[in-house]
Amino acid sequence: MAEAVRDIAALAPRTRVLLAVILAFGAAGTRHPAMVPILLALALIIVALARPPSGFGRKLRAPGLLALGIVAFLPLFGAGPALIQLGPLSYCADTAATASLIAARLLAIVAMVLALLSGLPDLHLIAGLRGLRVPILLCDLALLTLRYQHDLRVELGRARLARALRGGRNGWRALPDFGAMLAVLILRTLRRSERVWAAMRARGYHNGLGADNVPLRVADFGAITLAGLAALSLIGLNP
Amino acid sequence: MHLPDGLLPFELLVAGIGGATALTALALARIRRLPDPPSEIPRAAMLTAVFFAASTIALPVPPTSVHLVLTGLLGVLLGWFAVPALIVGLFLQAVLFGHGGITTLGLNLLILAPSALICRFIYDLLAPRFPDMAAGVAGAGGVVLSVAAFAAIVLLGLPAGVSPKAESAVLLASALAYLPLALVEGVVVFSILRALRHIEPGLLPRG
Repeated sequence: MAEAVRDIAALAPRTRVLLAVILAFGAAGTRHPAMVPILLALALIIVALARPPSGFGRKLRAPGLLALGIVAFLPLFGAGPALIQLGPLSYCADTAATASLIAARLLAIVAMVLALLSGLPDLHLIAGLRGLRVPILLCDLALLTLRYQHDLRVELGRARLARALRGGRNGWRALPDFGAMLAVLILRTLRRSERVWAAMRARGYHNGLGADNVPLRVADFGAITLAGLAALSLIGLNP
Repeated sequence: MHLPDGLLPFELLVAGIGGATALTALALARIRRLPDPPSEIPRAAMLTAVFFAASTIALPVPPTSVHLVLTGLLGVLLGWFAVPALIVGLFLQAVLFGHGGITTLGLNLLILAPSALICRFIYDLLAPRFPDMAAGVAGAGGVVLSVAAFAAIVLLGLPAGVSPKAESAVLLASALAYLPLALVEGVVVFSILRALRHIEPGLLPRG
């Protein structure tokens, strides 16, 4: 157990996927605003132990802004006693507490999931999913999607640059050109993807990527148990 | 148009996972009936990558910019394969970029996948006689149907303390804000399918 708590980064990929799901649903089941500090503390601990990759803070920016928007604006639509009165607008006290709970759940879930999973190499993530018996078709689809999405972005960036250099139209008038560009990109990427897939099958790839079947260690079981207890506590505790 | 984590009650999230599991099982059963399902995987993966990348493409539509959703395109080009494609796209967006959510994965699939399947149905109905109109309707319809499903789920799940009138007004305003996106997607999907019909008709259903 102590090892699990000390080094989340060393856990098996399928354990990390499972931890992310258990903790996310535990956080989503938190119902009382008084639990907000505990929820945020748990998220901070997980993030600290998982040692997330660079770019983690940047990925939290959009959910952070959304959380801020929820706390700032949702209470303005509340029905109940006002905490602050701003002319015709009233910032409702009860809805403010609910909004803070929603914002905390959002931030905690996104932070824990990104910390646990965004740093996993693509192949480990897919092997982890296979280890959890996710259907082969979904795993193959995820594997190839990860492979193509980088190529697609590079190609798309190149095509948009070329179009801009040729002085393409702007605004609404550019949409048909953009659609035609996307169609060409789809065709080009599709041909390449079919060649890659044919080569993979020719090399004997028929039954999906090997699953993460390494026997789980005590640390993995310890981490799953602790995550389960934390999730049950978040769902069950109602101060 | 993704539901974020944390917003909706736990019971609704669990119901969403149940519904999405049933829909995915149905889609996989339909896919298994195809003559060679693995041969379809490259196309599905490539379009999943397009869906995945679409959320990061900002198209300048003055005075603002919009992000494509492309559920209609996925539905038309993939049919039942759109369901696994969408679940994979949504999962990867959630775990790699924090877009959407892992607890709302089921509900997000229920927002997008039925819209994709309905768009394919509409396309199959119209395309033999009016292929261009079918493409535009499928593109715009994907957004309109997804927004309707999104609004219905949010109405079901928003906290009790929020005034119902204000809630409806905000949702109506948000839905109206998506109308330009519906038009944009209609034009973009129309252009894509028209180009594909001329260059590679075999990619289209009944092509």
